[in-house]
Amino acid sequence: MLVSITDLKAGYGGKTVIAFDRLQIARGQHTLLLGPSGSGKTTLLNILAALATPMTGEISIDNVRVDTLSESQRDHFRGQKIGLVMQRLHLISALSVRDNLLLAQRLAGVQANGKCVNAILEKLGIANKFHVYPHQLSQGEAQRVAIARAVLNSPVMILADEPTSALDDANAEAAIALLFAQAEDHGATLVVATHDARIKSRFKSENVIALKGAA
Amino acid sequence: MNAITTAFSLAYAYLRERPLATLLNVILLSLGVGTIIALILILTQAEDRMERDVAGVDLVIGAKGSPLQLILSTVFHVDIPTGNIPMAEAQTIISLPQVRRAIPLALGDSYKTFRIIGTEAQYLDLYDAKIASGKMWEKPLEASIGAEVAKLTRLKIGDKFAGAHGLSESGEAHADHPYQVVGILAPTGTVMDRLVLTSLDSIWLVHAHAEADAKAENARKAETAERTESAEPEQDKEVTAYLIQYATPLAAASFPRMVNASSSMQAAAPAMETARLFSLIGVGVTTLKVFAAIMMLCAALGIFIGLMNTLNDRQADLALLRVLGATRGMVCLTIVAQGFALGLAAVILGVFLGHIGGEWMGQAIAKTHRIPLTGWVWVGEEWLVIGAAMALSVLAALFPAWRAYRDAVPEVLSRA
Repeated sequence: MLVSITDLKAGYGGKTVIAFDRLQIARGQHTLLLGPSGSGKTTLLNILAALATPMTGEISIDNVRVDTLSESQRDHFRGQKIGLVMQRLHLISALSVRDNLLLAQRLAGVQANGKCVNAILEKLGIANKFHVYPHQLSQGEAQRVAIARAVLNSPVMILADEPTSALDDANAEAAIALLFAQAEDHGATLVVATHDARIKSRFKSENVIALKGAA
Repeated sequence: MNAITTAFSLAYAYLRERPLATLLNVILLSLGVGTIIALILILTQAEDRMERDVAGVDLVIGAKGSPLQLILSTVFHVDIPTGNIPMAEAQTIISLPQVRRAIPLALGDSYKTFRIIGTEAQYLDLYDAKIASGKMWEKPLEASIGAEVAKLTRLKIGDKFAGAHGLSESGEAHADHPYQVVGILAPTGTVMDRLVLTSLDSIWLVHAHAEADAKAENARKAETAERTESAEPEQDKEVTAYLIQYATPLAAASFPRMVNASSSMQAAAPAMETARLFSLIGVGVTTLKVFAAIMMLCAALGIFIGLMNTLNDRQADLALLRVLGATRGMVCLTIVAQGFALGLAAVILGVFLGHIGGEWMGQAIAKTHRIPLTGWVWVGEEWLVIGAAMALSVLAALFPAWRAYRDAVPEVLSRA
């Protein structure tokens, strides 16, 4: 199992937002967390990203008990094992496209490798944007760079928070296709959290987890 | 190490993103640093120089007038003398047991603004001066010149030159009594390097003639000229001052007072007068230093405000760093690194400006006072200024860094 969660209770300010007896995601089992805003999908995503800790429950990702790690251990774990793509926040504004990717390598404790960065950008068709700064990119281009960065360190899991909700149909389709392709390419498991039902058909129905929030 | 280089390269990128604010902070801080360093350079050298020039002189006895002027004219050779004193009267004082050594000085002439001093060989001992080439003066009108005089006037041994009356270049020349260079002194790093030394007799000879000529022109009695031209009786001879070394430190308590009370001469202690001089200059220097320190504080405040402002804009950016695997400490470090980098840039620029400013001030002073001061030296106190500037810059970044440290990533991301 890639992800194994038992007896989870999570939320903030002492308020439970989500509760699970058991949640398991196998390797390669691309999963959709579908639900309206406030249903706790972001809370769950933050826990999967080791950005937040649950109130109770055990979480194991890639055979690591994430809930028992210290905060800085979780930071290192996230840097090395998990790639995140967010809805709008994609890049560090002060750095060029290339430096953004190199930074991701360094923060993950990986030797910065320009060749590797160039190869991924080329593959995603944004090789001509190497030295461009984020404010010169379109939202779609910035997202492509963010996806390139998410797979750069060969993570076990790619988490995407609302990757398509700001995009039109064509672009949403392109974005989700790219996420799938990259996840497959790098042997990572894709977990998408969204309220955007347009992309539901992309996932096997047994892999769609509908969230309604804790009642 | 890796974390530190990453933090600094990020800090550099962040600072470069706001070039104008960064430039303003660096310039403000470097001006403060530069001003203080320039002042330190000049003052340290001047104090150092004066301390060496005072050397072993405990007391100066000269004509009545301003004690500061007496010291400036006879020890540092930068002011005009207060007048002359009769040797005979001085003799009764310098033969007292409190006096270990008394060196007579006769001033009045100069060569290309370098002073010609009539004195005795022991004046050289005061500064441990040695003859580098040639010999000591022996006969009247022989002169041994200081190292700097030789360098700047290009006078060589055997050359003849005429002294000019007074201490400026415009003085009337004593062309009929040229001096001959017989020796050049080794550099001492003191006032001696800028002096032309000769015997007391030379000065008396030159001036006796000058006086005589002047009097002859006024159609005075011929016998006056005769009197001055022949060997004067000892009691008529005059010198400008005596540099005194005490036989015992206890003499300092009563000896100067005795001289001032019981004779027509005045006694002035170089140590006291230079202290007084520095307390006079000190007000201006303190004002400048305080001004520079305020400038540095403003710069630190500028860094603080700048970082606080960018903190709001960059909150999401910093959360993104965490998403990419940066620890809280790392995020904190990128902000402290910005303060440090600003401080470092300002210090480098400031030290550079300070030394250029010091050199500029030094040259201006050297031009008017012939005191060689330069900006191209390193003074230990500079490290203190550098340390203070760095500490201020880092300190200014600490609170913003702590604010960033405190941010909870999920909350920031949910707002982004």
